[in-house]
Amino acid sequence: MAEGTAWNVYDALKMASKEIYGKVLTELGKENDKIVGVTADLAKSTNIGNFGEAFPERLFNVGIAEQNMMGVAAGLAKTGLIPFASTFAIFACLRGGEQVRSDIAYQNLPVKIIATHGGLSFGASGSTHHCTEDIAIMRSMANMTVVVPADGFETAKAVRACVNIPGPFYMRVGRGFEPPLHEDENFDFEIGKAINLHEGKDITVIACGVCVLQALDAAKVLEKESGISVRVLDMHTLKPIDEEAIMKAVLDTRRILTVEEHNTIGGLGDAVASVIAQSGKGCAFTKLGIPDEYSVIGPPEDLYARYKIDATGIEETVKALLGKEIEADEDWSDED
Amino acid sequence: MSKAIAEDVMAAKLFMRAAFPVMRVPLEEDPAMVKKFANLNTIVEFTAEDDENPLACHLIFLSQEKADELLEGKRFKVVQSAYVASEGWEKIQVMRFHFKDIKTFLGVLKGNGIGDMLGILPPVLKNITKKGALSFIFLLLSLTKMMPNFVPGEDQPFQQYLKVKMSLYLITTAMSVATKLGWKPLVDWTSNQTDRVYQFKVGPTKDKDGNEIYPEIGAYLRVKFGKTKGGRGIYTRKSPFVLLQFPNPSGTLDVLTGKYDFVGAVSHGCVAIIGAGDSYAVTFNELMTKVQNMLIPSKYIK
Amino acid sequence: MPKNVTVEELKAKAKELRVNIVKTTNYAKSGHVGGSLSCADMLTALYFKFLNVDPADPKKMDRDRFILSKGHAALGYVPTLAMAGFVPMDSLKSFNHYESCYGIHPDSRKISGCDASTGSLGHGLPMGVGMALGLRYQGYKDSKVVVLMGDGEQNEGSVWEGAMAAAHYKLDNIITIVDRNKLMIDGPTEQVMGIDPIDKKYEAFGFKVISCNGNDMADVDRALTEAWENKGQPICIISNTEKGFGVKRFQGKVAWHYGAIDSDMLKEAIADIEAL
Repeated sequence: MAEGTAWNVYDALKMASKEIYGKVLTELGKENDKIVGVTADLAKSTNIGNFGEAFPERLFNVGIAEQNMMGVAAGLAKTGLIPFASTFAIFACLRGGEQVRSDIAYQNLPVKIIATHGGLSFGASGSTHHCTEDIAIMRSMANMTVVVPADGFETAKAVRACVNIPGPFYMRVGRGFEPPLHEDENFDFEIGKAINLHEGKDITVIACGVCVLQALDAAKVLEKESGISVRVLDMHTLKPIDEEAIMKAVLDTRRILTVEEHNTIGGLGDAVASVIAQSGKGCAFTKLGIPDEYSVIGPPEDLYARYKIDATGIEETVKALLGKEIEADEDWSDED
Repeated sequence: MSKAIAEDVMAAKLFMRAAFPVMRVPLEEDPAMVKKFANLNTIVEFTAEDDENPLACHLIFLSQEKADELLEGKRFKVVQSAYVASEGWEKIQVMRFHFKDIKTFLGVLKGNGIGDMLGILPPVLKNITKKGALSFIFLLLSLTKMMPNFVPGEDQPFQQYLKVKMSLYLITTAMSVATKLGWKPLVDWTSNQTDRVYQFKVGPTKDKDGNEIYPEIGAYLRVKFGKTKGGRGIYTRKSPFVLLQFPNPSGTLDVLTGKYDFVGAVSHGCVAIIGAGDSYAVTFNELMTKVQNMLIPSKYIK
Repeated sequence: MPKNVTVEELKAKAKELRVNIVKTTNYAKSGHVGGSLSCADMLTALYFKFLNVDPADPKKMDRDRFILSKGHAALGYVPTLAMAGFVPMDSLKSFNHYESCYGIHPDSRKISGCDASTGSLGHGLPMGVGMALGLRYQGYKDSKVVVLMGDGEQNEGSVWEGAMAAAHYKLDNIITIVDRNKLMIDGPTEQVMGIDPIDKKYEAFGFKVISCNGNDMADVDRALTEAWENKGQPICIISNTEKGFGVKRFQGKVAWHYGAIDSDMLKEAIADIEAL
């Protein structure tokens, strides 16, 4: 019998069952013929291939040429179309970054950038394919809306919502194997409005992307095991950030912990810190993220554990912040 | 006496520690078994001789009355040692199934042919006059439902439900036990993992009108830096690291019986793998298959 | 469809444009005179004969698009738009001034008739490809997309990404023009980072390539006519020009890529141009 398991890129697509935005985009494409797609040889890897299969004449593949891709997206937008441009996050924000900024953002064009494989989700591919800078970069482009959805369902909703935004839009997602936060699409989602997933009084954990589910898990454990009451805010929109929710958390809980799959410089943490600092209100504040370094390689889940942005890391951090012990579940006997 | 090879010792231990406890499922849920064991109070001891690794365990079967009196209400328990009657237990009947070596013991449980299985005859004959001996044999035989050649169809929903439940309970405990016994592939694989739960979840069996006839099945393997635990039901403390979700027992069987390989199963929608689908879920599946292969007749290993 | 305009009429317009360029440089205090003067003939021919555009309806969907990929030639482009009626002639006086609509590089949000904001080299052709694809997809078969690039600009990789895509998608509605004035900031192009044989490169990339003397209106007219009738693949016009053409002091001088003109120099420049 053969050792190991065999699969290829196309199989992988079927296995990433929770990443449904490709289907949603196809539905949108049926409703609105102004929607087109652009990619740089990553149609299959980024799910926009779904759209391309349904509308082959509406998905423009420019090959491995990200600068061209963003320029082409701008040009398409100039003729009245709504282009969805999809590539890996690192290439979207840096390789084609100038085009995103000067062709798209500066001209305020309705280009919707779906940047996949953000953060460390590319695991073993190493730093050239990781992207822990995109939130910082995209936030600092005027006219840009920046969203980092927590799971496939939020991504789908964001895809629907972004069509109504008149200007440019940047959304960063993972590689498709991330577990879902929500059970289905039945929840309210509004760009710019954080979602309060878990009420709490002792500390607020503000997270985006994959870290949201981790924060929620941590909150549930902390509540059950140690009586620590944790509020969890799903801050899916980085720009415009929900200042009201942040300030309410500051006033209600007085302690804020941010968690992101991004450099601690310039991302969610700094965006939240900026709001708090400018308000003049004092509060305890800690950031969890990638500590300004290039990560080691490995399965992404191991990297999240290493940088303490998984549930265990968040639990430990909260415990340290509040000076409390946590009772771990240490029953290792096999059940009958 | 003889000395069994390391593989056989491991397999035998897995049977005693992971497979025997699974008898609880038919014992509690198969009406025929419930009836047979309603008033039966007996110990069934298994021993296998070996120069280096003699093995022993005993199964305790008690009626509800005796269970309340002697075992805090627990009617079935597997203990990993030879049986010695303690105070209050003197009147409880004991059946001793003795095997001259580990090989013979394994032959009965996962032998390739009838010849191997006949190894059960001597111990059975020895205990034939004991009350419930035959009932026990039937119960022991129910473990064969977990073998690859038992494939109940959709017209046998209860058998499907039983097989899936028993198999998932078996595999989660077997993987935990194998790690605890020092089986290197699992020891290595679990050593650096943070607190993670690999959860199996099978949807309920429904009749043609959509009414639920058998409930959802859950079993999990929890790992944390080398520690392991085989669990029952759904782990609620946190989200599963990998969730292997099957629509119903019928769908699960396609995967368990190897009709599809891992990738094929996902593509055919037999299972949804949620979480770490490109890394840890794959290695979990590989290790699970290896452990399973230790417990089935070699003729079924592809 | 190109309008019925004679070469003589276009020559006169080109002279007028050059005068406006040097005047505007003076209003602006300084500017990219060299590269603006070199492509003045092309700009004239495009806006007064070839491009299907309407100052009264600058955003009509079926119009031809023009992208000044060498965005620093806004000094030549904005006066062209003013002469064509897209913006008031008078407004040229505010060029480069605080809060003006006109700066060193064109801002499409602020200039009527300007199809793309450019300035960073290498962006024009990709945007042009996008426009060409978008126009074709929506059925505007007769609309052209003209991209005017510099020769130093050919160093930028994104130009070639755009070229590859234009050929791959058989965009015969794209007309690219390389303003081959042979000079860049640090010196002659062939000394700094050679681009020759530029014509063979575009051919290899799948373009039909034609050349012309970019400062001879009759030749410019011939080349653009051919480009407008081109089918099957994108076309590239290598427009051989002289940087600073029209003002003797600037002609062929690397240093006059960018400069300031005082009132004396302005008089001299206008005299040179009138004498063309």
